[in-house]
Amino acid sequence: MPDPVTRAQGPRGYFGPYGGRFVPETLVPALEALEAAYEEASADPAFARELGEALATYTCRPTPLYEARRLSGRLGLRVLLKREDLNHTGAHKINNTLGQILLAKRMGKSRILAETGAGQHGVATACAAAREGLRCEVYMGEEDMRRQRSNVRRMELMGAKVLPATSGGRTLKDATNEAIRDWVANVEETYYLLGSAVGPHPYPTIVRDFQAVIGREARAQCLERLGRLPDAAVACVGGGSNAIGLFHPFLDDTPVKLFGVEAAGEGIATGRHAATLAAGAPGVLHGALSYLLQDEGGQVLEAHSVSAGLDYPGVGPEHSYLKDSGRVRYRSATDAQALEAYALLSRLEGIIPAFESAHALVALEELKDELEPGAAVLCCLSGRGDKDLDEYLLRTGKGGST
Amino acid sequence: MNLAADLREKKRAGRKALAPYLCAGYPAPEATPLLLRSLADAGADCIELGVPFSDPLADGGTIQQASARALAQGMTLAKALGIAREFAAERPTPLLLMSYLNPLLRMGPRRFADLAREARVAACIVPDLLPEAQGLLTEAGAPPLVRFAAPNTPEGRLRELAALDPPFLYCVSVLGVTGARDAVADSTLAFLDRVRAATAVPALVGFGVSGPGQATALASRADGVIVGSALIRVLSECRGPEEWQGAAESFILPVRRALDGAA
Repeated sequence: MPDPVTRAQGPRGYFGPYGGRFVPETLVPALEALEAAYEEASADPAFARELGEALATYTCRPTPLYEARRLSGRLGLRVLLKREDLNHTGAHKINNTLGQILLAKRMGKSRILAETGAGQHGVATACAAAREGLRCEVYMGEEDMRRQRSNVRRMELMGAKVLPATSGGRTLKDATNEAIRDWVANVEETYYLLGSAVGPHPYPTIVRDFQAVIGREARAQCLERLGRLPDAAVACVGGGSNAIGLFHPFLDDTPVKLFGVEAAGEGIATGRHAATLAAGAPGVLHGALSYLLQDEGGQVLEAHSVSAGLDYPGVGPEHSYLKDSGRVRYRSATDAQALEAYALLSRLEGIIPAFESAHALVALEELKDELEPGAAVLCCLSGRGDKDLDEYLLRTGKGGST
Repeated sequence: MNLAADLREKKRAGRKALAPYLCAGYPAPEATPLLLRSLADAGADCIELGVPFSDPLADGGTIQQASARALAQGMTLAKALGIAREFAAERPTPLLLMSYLNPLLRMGPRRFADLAREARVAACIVPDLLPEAQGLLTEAGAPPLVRFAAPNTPEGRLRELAALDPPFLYCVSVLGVTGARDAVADSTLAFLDRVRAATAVPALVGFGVSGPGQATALASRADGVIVGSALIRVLSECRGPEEWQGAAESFILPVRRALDGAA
């Protein structure tokens, strides 16, 4: 057995006390079938070959590890950016969708269903489905459709149908509710392609495994570039798929400090935030037991973040476990800090980061006090920020007449 | 009276059970005690009292909207248990408490078990709690859990669910969420036959039961029906509090009569 501190996964998809399967009975056969198909695929070299080919030729893996010299100089750290923003469709989400679409094909499903927040997972699902000739429908909160109009158009251009979620705060949580309800009703022909390391078992494991390519590559690239492992690794956490993908291959490398960064929105004290691990309590949402933003009566609270991709009141169950075990330390960054980091990286490195990734950059500034001067810090640049430019201009009052 | 024994007795006597669903706090907090009494007096065999939840994954639009409205008017699990306790002092009709898991976990399984026992809750219906995880909720003295069966539940699992000896099996009539539907599919009847062949545990059918015709068609292959969204819809059409009880009665009485006539 691997070290229980870092590898908590027991039978039936639990990470310590977190995870599990909290769904209507109707979904049990589908989850059992998915678990069996994934186990079978994982043991099949042909599956690995087909996925490897897609990762290499369809999106551009391995993504580069870029040493951000001007940012490093400013922070007094050696900052290595894992360039997931250079993936096809502009974010890490495609690592997971390319893997899961092959599972869907293997299972003989004719329809792909997904939820999306910022639209990055929706776009990555739409292109993966297009490539396999599978019908694709994506739920997106109405509020997010407004914030991320160009992603809606991109999905539609690739042949996907975008279905508005109109309940609650009309963001990612509500889109996920609608997607799960749709899945229950159409479970026989539909493959639910979940986009983050959340949801009922086996999703958190499947998504983590497909995203772990980030950490595996980065680990090897650090060894090659530095001749050693980095001193720390940092990633933003909404549901937490890029973070768990980056962290997982480092969990046993205990000298490597791991930091997850949640969205503090307008500040944790204001109550308008998405810092689930910092301010939530364990509970059940969307099929898993994990930290959750909830009120005294157990009702789920609306999250708030400038970043649609982090605007979620839950978090992946493995992060909950890693928080409790202390292996990963979780911090948070406010909307205002993320906007500053968005501008800073653009100016210093000519790289426009996604709002989501900008949260991870904020932590770099703070980490310099915890690390030796010149320490090597690996940071996951999970996505590109072109999609956020309008919102940035709007929020900073630089938007002109549009 | 023990719910399981009560339902088995009715099953033997050939009486089809009628279990209407109410969303606690809908259309208004003060409506729920009145409606519970009306339904009991109109011949409900047991009543499902739903605790509203922010993210009701197994529910369609009608119950989602009712839940949101009830929450906006301050309904909570604790208040719903208070309503149940008061009702238990007035009528013998057993109450089934329906809640998604999170509010129960937040209250704490021990405190929930105590309050539910005090309120004489006959059984709990928790749509997102599978038997595999029931340890999170089971406490000494807690009401028994109803188990769900769906049209895609395999034979073996049907038998496992029945072996847990629930007061009844909640048979989900369709693949999908709650919500009134117009017709009864042949596949639904085949599923109910499959359930009856697998177990003698009473089987109540819910999801999509909209009126007397469907209720009798479904009850012909089961031991009773659960009516939810259709009743909520009737309540949503009321123009004021003075119409609530009349609307509930005129909806439920024909279903009762049809079930009795068909038995």
